Amino acid sequence: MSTSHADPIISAYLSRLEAAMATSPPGRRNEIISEIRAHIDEALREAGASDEVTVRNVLQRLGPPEEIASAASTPGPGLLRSRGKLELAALVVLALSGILPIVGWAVGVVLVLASDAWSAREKVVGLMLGLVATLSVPLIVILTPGSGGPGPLELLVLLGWGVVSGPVSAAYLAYRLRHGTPTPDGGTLAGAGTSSA
Amino acid sequence: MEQGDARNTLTQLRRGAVEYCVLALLRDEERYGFELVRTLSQTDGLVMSEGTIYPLLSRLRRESLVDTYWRESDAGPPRRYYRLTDAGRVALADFTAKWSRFRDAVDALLVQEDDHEHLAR
Repeated sequence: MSTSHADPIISAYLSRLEAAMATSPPGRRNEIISEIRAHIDEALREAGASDEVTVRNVLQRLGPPEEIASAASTPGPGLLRSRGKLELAALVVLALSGILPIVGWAVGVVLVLASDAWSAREKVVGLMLGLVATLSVPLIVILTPGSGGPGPLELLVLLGWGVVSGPVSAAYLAYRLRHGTPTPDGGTLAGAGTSSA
Repeated sequence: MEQGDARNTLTQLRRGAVEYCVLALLRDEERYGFELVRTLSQTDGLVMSEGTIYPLLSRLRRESLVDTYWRESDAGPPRRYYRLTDAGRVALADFTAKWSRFRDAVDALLVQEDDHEHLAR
């Protein structure tokens, strides 16, 4: 028994809201609009009236649609924002980069660089560790006696790069994520679900 | 400080704290959107556009700090109720501790300033 469908002032408001939220994902937009619509109905029920003055007061208290839309698009201040999806993807891609060498590595690197969970220094160290590990493969082969002539060096480097470097980088970065980089406010940049100091 | 600046400061402060106020309101009972908004708007000092609570609730849900379910209501159509998740409880407890320290620190400094002004007169 919702009055919001019938009233032109309310419809106009909701249309403005829908337009203001055009850039939000549709699921989120619909969720918020339906909640606002339910709010309006409830407010009018509470007021016991739905004349123009009452309606305008309710909408006034709700605030401008543009303000609501802007609240929907800004991410939270995130004292304790849950991190993790980007970082998890980065770690998984690096760890499994052996399956698709070079490309997997490159994708993993991009994800790591895109994340803000690691400091610049951690990123550099993590990725360098991986590259250094790459060199270990041909070295081991060269140093192993009687290995019957290593194949072309380039192939070995590639092998190392694909199979070893990703997991080594991932292991280091995962360690840093868990044990944290202290942030200025005394918390730690740790993965989602870990409570900070 | 100009009017505009003062209001902006308040907005910033509010933006940081209001989501935890919402979590706190859900600590002991599950509530629906309208209830939450009403309680917040009745709290002196937390004046804000009521509508902005709904994007906030949506985000808290996305961040798995709250979850929601529908409950039938005698007064009309079913209502969407909100409740804290375990992660939400942890976040709230963590913030509460941080907030106490922060608030005490700021209060202590503000009181000092106040004393100096008194003496100057």
